[in-house]
Amino acid sequence: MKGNGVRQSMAWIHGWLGLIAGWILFAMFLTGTASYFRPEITRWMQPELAATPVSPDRAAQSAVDHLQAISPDDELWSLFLPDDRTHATRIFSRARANPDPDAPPPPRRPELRLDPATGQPLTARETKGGEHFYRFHFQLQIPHPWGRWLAGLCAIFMLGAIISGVITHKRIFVDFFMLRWNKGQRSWLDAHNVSAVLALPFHAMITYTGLITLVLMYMPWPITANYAEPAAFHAEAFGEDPEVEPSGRHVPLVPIAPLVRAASAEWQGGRASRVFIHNPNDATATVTIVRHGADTLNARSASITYSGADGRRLSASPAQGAGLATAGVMLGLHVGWFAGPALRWTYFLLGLTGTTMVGTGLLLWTAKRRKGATPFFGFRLVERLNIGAIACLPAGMAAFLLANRLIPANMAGRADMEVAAMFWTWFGLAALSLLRPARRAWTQCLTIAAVAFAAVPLVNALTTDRGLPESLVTGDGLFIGFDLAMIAIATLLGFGAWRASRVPAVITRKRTARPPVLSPAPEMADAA
Amino acid sequence: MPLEAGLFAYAAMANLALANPRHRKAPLPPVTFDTRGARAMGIALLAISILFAFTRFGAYQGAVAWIGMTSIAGVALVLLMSRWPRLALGLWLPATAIAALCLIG
Repeated sequence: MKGNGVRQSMAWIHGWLGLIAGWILFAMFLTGTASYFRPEITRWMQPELAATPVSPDRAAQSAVDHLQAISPDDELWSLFLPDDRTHATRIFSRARANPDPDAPPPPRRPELRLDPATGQPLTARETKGGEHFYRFHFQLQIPHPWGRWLAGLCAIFMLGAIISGVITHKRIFVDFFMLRWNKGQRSWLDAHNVSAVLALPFHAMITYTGLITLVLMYMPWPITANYAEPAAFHAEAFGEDPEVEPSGRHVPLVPIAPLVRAASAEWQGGRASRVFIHNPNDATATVTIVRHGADTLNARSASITYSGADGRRLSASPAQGAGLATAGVMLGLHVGWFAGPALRWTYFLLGLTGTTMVGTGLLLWTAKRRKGATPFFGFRLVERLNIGAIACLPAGMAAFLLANRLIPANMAGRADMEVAAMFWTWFGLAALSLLRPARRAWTQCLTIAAVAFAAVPLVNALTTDRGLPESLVTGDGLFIGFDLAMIAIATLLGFGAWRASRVPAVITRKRTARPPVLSPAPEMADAA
Repeated sequence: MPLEAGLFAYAAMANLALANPRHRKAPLPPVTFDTRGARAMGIALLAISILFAFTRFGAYQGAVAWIGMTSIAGVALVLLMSRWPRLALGLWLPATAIAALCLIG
């Protein structure tokens, strides 16, 4: 620390918070940004499926008809209805537990995906799809609950870095539009400032709402202090009905489509997105219909419960109080489910701006300290981790998409192999890059990432019948958009590789001697 | 088209940049106000973009749309300005014109 002023202390805090959490934050930002297209990525990763859009009531009815045929005596049917962005009905069903308490619980059934029009099971390649990026974004592929805790810790660091960064930045308005190339450290500072300041509302919002999304996990104490059971809090807050014991009297389930239409009418045309059917074909059967989040900013949607035996309207979710509505809107702002195409792309570009902010911050740390003949250990560690995060993670993400096309479609366990492909490529490339001098490692890793993304449209065209020429002919917007996005990302990474390959401009400005910087090794071992 | 708010925001940002003497060192675009005029124009265009963000996206999404699109417009402007300052700043007029045409059309 050079001085004792507020600004200097904030600069010190900003540097350390950003550095220690930076690599994980970079990965969280990048995969989170990709997650704005979660359903689209999933659809791209199952190119066999091209279902036609179907109304929610018809999809619900066809799904129930299918479940009546295969498992009419279940405890719970959960239907996730298709919408503009997902074209399959997803079903999770739970078998009734054996009444004998010593019997093992019934095995968890895998997700079932149905054609919404016919109610017949869809057969497509097994994949985690966009869900993988989404889960990684806040679970970091670390066993529960540690991944979420680590993500939360990094988000706290991010929030601290944003606040301290704003206080540190002396010339927010003077430098508002200032970006100068080829000036070494000055350029990285400009890029960091511009990407941070111009999208500051987004960065602050996304970080804070991300924390709030998991706040009940990070801060469970208010609930434990006030409720004997967490379930009691949930029932009071969200109106979740406690599970009713079945009566054992068989009453066939009423047709479901009229209930979905009735719920939609009660919401003045709001769509239904989920249907939960407890104790189907029993006198106590209930049908809970949940509203689609796209109609409102609030991601915690309203629901209406009907009797499954006679179709009477039993109850609706309680009107949300201010606290719950605030939490719902914060979640909604974070995940952006309400966003139509224009706003979704805006969110995506804002996410990329955030990724740039984190990445340029990390690069700025090394740019500031890049001088002298023998770089100290901490510098080399940071530089290598920067290469591993910024240049190698994109290559891993491209490998995930390529693996989807290259692993045979009917191979067992292929979904996990796709995920493994991402991590092997990411960490494998990062390990290999250690063999090269840092500057060449930057160029080569970015080139590999660019080539990998450029290969995605080619491999897609060779392995499916939905390549760019075909999708242009058939007007397949999703596949055209995906191919163009891959080409754009490849271009961007290629540009980065080209810039990294150029000999840096010699900076002749005289520098003053600095106090030695402490080696950041122990903290970084925690973060890595 | 849902992008009028973003186009107006781009034009507003370009004018606000032109209100700063630091960005007037390079050759100026053909249609440029003096610093005070550019600031007034920037603020007016920003107000217009707020208006159309709310009319296009509704009361709740309007704020999200305006903040998001203005941020992205700013990033686009800065990226262009860093390489082609005259073009980037001069685009404020076509951006305004396209946005206005979209409103009429």
